[in-house]
Amino acid sequence: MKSSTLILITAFLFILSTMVISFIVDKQLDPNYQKNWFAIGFVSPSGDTPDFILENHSSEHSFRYTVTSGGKILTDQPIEASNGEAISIHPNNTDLPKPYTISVFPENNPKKSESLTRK
Amino acid sequence: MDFISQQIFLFLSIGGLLFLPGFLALRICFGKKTPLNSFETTLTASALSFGFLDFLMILLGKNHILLTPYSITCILLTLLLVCLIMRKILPTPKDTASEGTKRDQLHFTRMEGSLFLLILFLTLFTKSIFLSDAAFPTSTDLGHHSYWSKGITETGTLPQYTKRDIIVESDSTEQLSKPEPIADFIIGEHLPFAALALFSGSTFISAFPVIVLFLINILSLLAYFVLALRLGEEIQKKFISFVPMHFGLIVLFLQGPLYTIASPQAKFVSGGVVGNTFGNFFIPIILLFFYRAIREKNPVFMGLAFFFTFTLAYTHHLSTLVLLFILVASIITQFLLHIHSLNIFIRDWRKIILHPVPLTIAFLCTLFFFTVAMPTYIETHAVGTALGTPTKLTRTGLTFAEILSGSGEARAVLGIAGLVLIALFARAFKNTAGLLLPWTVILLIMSMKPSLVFLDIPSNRIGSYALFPLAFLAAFVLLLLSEYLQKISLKKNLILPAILPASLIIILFVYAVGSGSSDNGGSLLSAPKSTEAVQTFAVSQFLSERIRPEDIILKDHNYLSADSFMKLFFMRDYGFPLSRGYFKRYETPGHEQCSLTMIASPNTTAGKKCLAGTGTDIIIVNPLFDRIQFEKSPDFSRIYSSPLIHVYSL
Repeated sequence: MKSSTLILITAFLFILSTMVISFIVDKQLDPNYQKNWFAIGFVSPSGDTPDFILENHSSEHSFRYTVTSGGKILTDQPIEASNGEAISIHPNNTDLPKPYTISVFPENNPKKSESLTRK
Repeated sequence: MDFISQQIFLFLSIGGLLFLPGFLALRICFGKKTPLNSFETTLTASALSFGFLDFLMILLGKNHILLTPYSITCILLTLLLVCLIMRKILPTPKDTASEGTKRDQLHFTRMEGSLFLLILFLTLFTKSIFLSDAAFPTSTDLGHHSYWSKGITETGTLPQYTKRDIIVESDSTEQLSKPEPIADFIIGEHLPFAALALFSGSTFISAFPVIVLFLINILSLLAYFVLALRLGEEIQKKFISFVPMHFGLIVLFLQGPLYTIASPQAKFVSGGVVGNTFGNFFIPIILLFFYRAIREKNPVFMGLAFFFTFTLAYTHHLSTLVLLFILVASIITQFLLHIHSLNIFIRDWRKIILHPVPLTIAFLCTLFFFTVAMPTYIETHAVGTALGTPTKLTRTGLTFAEILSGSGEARAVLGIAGLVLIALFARAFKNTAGLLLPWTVILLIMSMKPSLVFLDIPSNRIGSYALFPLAFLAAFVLLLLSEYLQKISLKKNLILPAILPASLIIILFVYAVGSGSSDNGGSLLSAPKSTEAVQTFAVSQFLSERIRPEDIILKDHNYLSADSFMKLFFMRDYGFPLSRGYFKRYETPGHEQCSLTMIASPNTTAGKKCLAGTGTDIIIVNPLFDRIQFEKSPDFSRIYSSPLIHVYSL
């Protein structure tokens, strides 16, 4: 058996293995693939605006957000975001009194909420 | 870029950068009459290509030429053109070797070829199963190395290995330092990845770095296989029935599918232990060429050995140190084995060293070292920290049990037996024994009694090098036993005695397979860590697009997954974001405490002083472990929130 044939077969087996590994890792890197989470963050981390972004990597499409301050709910609005979408939300509140909290949760699972606060 | 195109570009880049330049250089220098077999040609082509890439990219960078695919291609072609011109101008060298300079053919019988492929298949299969979960970019070392490589691709310049860190001033205040040099990184660990990324467009937050390390790991196995074939040729002169190919296959089997996941194999690959993986590739190649130079009295092989040693010195300091110890021990052993023919021994050495080829290569390497660039650890005088009396418990040596478990029990046990056998037959095959004996003994001394050789390095790191020569010795024992069995079975009416060595071989074989396979089974990951890591990448991307230049971020290393990759999103400094390290580190006297205090107790006087002193205003933590202290604080706002990441800002 020629050694060059063995080298070529080894190379082929290696390329096949690495393509499988790369494919699997690519899928794992996809924040939407077989994952169920969402994140929120202020558009301007160091600023004062309450504008925030919702990144949806879950199977949920319908969310709600509330803005609360001093124990009062100042805003309670629905958000629609499909899987993989990142949308910017501008709460219709001017001069929000600090501290205030913005909470986002899926409509049918309020316990699974994420919150932001400005102090 | 879609998946298939990405893969095609990657493999074309790997072929074009990591094999082709070396192959063309070999062809230009040797023509078709290369004294290397196909496997040696492939491995030498790869090692040469790594060397060319490293030194030529350093040359470009030091001359302020941007590192781009265009400039790298031009300089590689220039080098090959120079080789071609030199080949045409210089007279064809006389055949100075006494044997083995003819075109070397390597023949496999059908059985041998099938066994080779089966062993490779099992090796690749087992490693692939492990890497399919472990290749996801989370490991700390891989994140660190990827930062430097990515820096080269973004700036087109050589990296400045510096880092800003939290330091304790003389008045006990803590603040951020100016960029200080760090000796832990060596440029040869990063240039090949950068070159591949430039050519293929691969990103570092992908399987790409692990794929490259996987390739080097497989090449290192083939290098040990090839070295075994050459060592076996000399053993065959004493034991006629000792077949070098069988020796090579057993070495490949003991290093391939057995213990194939444990360090320093697939775990080093997935863990991003770049330098060690390169070292495990270069060391057998360097030993192969030194061995062939001495045995065949070929100065060209000595020149190649010099070049590869030089390349290793610019790639991994620890492997270089280990290699130097092996070479010194080997020279001393060779000297003792040839004590009765010293004149001839010294004359042969003089012939292969004091020859234009190795002298020219040594001269050019030395010129490069002093006029172009030195390795980082030389520039920062870090060598002194590795030599001396061991200063920590982890550097005082391993126990024999730790050697057994670190090298693979079966390999170590059989290897020790092989060590005794080789010592008994040392005079029969001096060159082979003169390599295997000192190689094993010096590594055992370095890992078990480092104080004897004034070594101050973590002993388990040294211990990981010992498995390679032990595998050779274990293979030697297994093959000698099977040769003995064959001899006995050829004699008539001796079936009963033949059963005894046959049983022994079967028991040893089953022991080796069982031990190696159970080690593999125990090393497989239970679940991938991708779910946590993607949240880390998401927050890093989010913040990198929104923070101001003056913002200083602190993150936690203990409870955030893939946190060492966060710096790749910011590319500000190796030490950005700042990091709360493992808790044990803070027990070291004199260690800065701010990175611990700012997360653990940000509301205390000490915490506030640290925040002010370092300028930290954004902190990233895992809310499952660190949350209450920030929620209670009137100063910290939560500016980002996901299930496993909270970001707090002042």
